[in-house]
Amino acid sequence: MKHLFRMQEIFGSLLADGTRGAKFRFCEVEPILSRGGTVIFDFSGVDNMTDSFANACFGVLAQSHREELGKRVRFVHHSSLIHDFLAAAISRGLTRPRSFA
Amino acid sequence: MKATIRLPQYIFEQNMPGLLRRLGEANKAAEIYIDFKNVTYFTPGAIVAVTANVYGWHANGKKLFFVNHTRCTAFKYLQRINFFDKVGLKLPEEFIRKADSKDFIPLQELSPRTQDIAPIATRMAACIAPKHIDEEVFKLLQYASSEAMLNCKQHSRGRGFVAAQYAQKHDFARIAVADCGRGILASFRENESPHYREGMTDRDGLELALQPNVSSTTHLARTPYSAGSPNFGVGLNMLRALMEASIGYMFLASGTSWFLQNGTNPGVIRIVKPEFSFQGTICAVAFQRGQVDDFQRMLAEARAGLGLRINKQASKIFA
Repeated sequence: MKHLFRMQEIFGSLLADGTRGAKFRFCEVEPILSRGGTVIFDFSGVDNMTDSFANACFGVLAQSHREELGKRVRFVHHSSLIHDFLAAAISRGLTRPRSFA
Repeated sequence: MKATIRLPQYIFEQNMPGLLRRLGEANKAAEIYIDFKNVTYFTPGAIVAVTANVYGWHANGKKLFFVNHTRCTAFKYLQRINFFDKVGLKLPEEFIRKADSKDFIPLQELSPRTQDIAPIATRMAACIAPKHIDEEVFKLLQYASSEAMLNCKQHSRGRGFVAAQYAQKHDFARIAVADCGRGILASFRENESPHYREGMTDRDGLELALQPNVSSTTHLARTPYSAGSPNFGVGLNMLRALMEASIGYMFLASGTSWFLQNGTNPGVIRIVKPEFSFQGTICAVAFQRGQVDDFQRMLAEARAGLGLRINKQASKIFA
């Protein structure tokens, strides 16, 4: 089972609010991963982000699903700027003790 | 007991502590008279500090009286940004309201229930640096105002106020958030942060908040329904690093302590007497617009300066 999240349609062109990012991860993303599904984040139309959103959503995802990164957790159509936010958040998540959401 | 606050003529980052002292002097009074006679120019930090204080006093049942507010030089500006409206004073307007000015937006309100700060951040950035004119500054302001607002939304438990302004004379784009909430130290204490120790002061709390990877909520359970969101404690430090890169200013205050940094000079933290404390938290940042040429590079340098190294596994995901 694959699920494509079109981030711009969900959040708009700015992914800013870490509280929303955390809620999205917990309520929308984690249930798919826990059922063995694959999640694909599509960043078409997303122009900017905050580190708070990136950490709350993707940093924690990396922290709790490190083996799934690039396999059952994928990122597509991101700009160079968004790539840097994702890489930074995932790096932070991977350096933290594993957590189980 | 009565107190009269004579607001100063000008407030920039450097004389914010003086403003807070004047506001603090009225904390114990039951009747507070705020005299605007001399007010000519206030930065967003000063405006939100006064607004949050007035809101807090009003919520605590104090009687407030505004004096000379319609006669001061800044009257029309304060009216246009809805300052009087936000502090509960309905005044007739002798001008026609237009869409946002190119230099400022009306005061915005924040609360822990604010659904999404992104629309406010985008409105602030679009007003001060329209995307089609200066995309790099636009993105920086979207980022910076979002991070500043999130600190307020996630930690204060009180109402917050947000202001933004572009000052052409010195080329400063300023954003500021102030709330009348519990303050930084109480956030560490009430969240039972492992960083909190009995006997800590507001200064200790401010110093903790300025440390990379430290937040009062980093230890909390990672569910959206817990007391805090999964917070890695980088927002304030990123703001500081970006401010330094643009040779701007940063001012923070909470309780009996304040922090001020001018560009790349070392920041200073000072404490004030308890009777002059600020009942909440202020975060005000100024960026020199002309120094912002590449937002992505500024972010990369800020992250590197905070010790972040991109993990090999993280790099492979995007290969």
